[in-house]
Amino acid sequence: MAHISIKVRLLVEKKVRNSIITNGSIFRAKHGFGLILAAVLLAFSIAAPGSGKGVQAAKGQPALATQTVSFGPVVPGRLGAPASVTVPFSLPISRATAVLGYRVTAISSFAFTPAAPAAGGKSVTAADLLVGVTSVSSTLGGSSSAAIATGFDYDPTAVRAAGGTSAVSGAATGRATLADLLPGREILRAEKTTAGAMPASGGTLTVSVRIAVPTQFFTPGSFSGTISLIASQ
Amino acid sequence: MKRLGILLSAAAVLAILPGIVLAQGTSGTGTFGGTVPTTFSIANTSNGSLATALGTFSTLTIGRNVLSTPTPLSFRLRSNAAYKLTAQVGSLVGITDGGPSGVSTTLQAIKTGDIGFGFTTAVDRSGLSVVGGGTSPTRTDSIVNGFDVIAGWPSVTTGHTPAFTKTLHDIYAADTQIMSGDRISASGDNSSGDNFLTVTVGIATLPQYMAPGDFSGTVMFTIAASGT
Repeated sequence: MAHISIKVRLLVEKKVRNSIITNGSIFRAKHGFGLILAAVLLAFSIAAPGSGKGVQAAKGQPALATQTVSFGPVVPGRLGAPASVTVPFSLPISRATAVLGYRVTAISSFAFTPAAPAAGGKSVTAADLLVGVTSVSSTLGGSSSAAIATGFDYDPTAVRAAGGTSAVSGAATGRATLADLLPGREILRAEKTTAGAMPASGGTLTVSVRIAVPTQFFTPGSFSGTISLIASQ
Repeated sequence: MKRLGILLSAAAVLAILPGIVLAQGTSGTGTFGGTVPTTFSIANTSNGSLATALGTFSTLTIGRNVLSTPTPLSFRLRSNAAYKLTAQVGSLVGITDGGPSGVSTTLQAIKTGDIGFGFTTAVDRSGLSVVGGGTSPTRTDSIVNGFDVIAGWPSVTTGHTPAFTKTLHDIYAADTQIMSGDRISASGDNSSGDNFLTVTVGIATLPQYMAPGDFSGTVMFTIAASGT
C-alpha cells in the first residue's frame, strides 16, 4: 500500500513540474507583479468573510427563478378571515457558508395604485400585510438548522382582528408586517455548525413566507410588491 | 527562488479564491399582487343576508282614517366607493300595479299605488369607521325626493288613500334610485360593527272597503356604484 501511495505522489509532482515549465516564461516575466497582486488580493480575501455580505453559492446552481403569486380579488368577508399567499424560496447554501453560519435577510417593496378616490377611507398599505415564516427546511444535513427571528415565527392567516380591521401589528408586537421588511431585516439565522454529513456541494435552504391581508373595505385599486431573501454570512 | 515565488503567488491566489466566491450572493425574489375591487354590501342588522319581511300588514281592519304601518325594516349598507341604492317591487300576488284608488263608483281592489313606501327613520351614520360618520357625522346621504317620510306618513282625512309622496307603484318593475352617497366604509369588513349605514324603510296603507283577499309582493334592494 505504501508503494502505491508514493507512485501517486510522484505523478502529481511530475504534473506540477510540467505545468511550471510550460508556463515558465510568463511567470518569469510577471513574477514581481504577481507577488504584489497576490498580497493585495489576499488582503481582500481576508476582509471578505468579515464584511457580512459574502456568501458562497453552491456549485452548479441555476439562476433562481422569481416566484410570482397573486391574492386575486381581496373581497371583504364576514368572518374576519384574511386573504393569503405563500411564497416559496429555495436558496442554495454552500457547505463553507453553512459551516461558518449564515443569516437570511428579507427586503420588500410595496405599491398601491388606487382605482377610485380614497374619499376619506383607508387604502391598503404595507403595514396591513402580515408576514410570517411558516416553514424552514434544508438539505444541508448535519446539525444545520435556522432560527426564525422574533416577530416572524407565526402564521399570519391565524390572526383575526376584532371587527374585521387590521390588527395592531409589527415585528415588535410579535406579528411582523411587510412594513418591517421595507428597509430590510434579518428573518433567519443559522449558527456555525460542523460539516458532519453535509454534502460537499452544500444544500438548499427552503423557506416559506406567508403573506396575509385582512379582507376589508379598502380603497379600490391594485397592489403589488416583492420580497427578496438574501443569504449571507 | 523563482519557483518559490511562483508557488507563493499560486498559494496566495488559491487562498483568495474562497473570498472571491464569498462575495457572491444567494438570493431569491418573490413577487405578489392583488386587487381590491369596488365592493358594495347590503346586510341585515346581524350582518346576514337580507331576506326578510319589509312589512306585514296582517289583517287590514278597516277603521277611521287610521293608516296601517307595519314595523319598518332596517338594514346595513357598506361600500368602499360612492354608491346608489335602488329598489324594485315585483312578484305581485293578489295585488296589481297601478295608481292609488280614488273616489269611484266601481269596485276597487288594492293596487301598488295604495301602499306608501319610503325611509321612515333618519339614516344612522354613527359608525366610527364610517367615512364622515361618528358621533357628529358630516357626511351627506341623499334620499331621492319623495322617499323621505322620516317626518311621518301623510295624514288621512277623507277615508281614502292619502297623498303618499311615493308608493310601491313608483318602484314597480324597474330599479329605482331611492338614495345615494359617498363611500361609506372607511375600513373593516362585513363583520365590523362600525363601518355601515343603517337605513330603515317602511310601507303604509289605509285599510279600506276594497275587494277582500290576500296580497303580497317582493321589494328588491340593490346597492351599486353611483353613476352606473
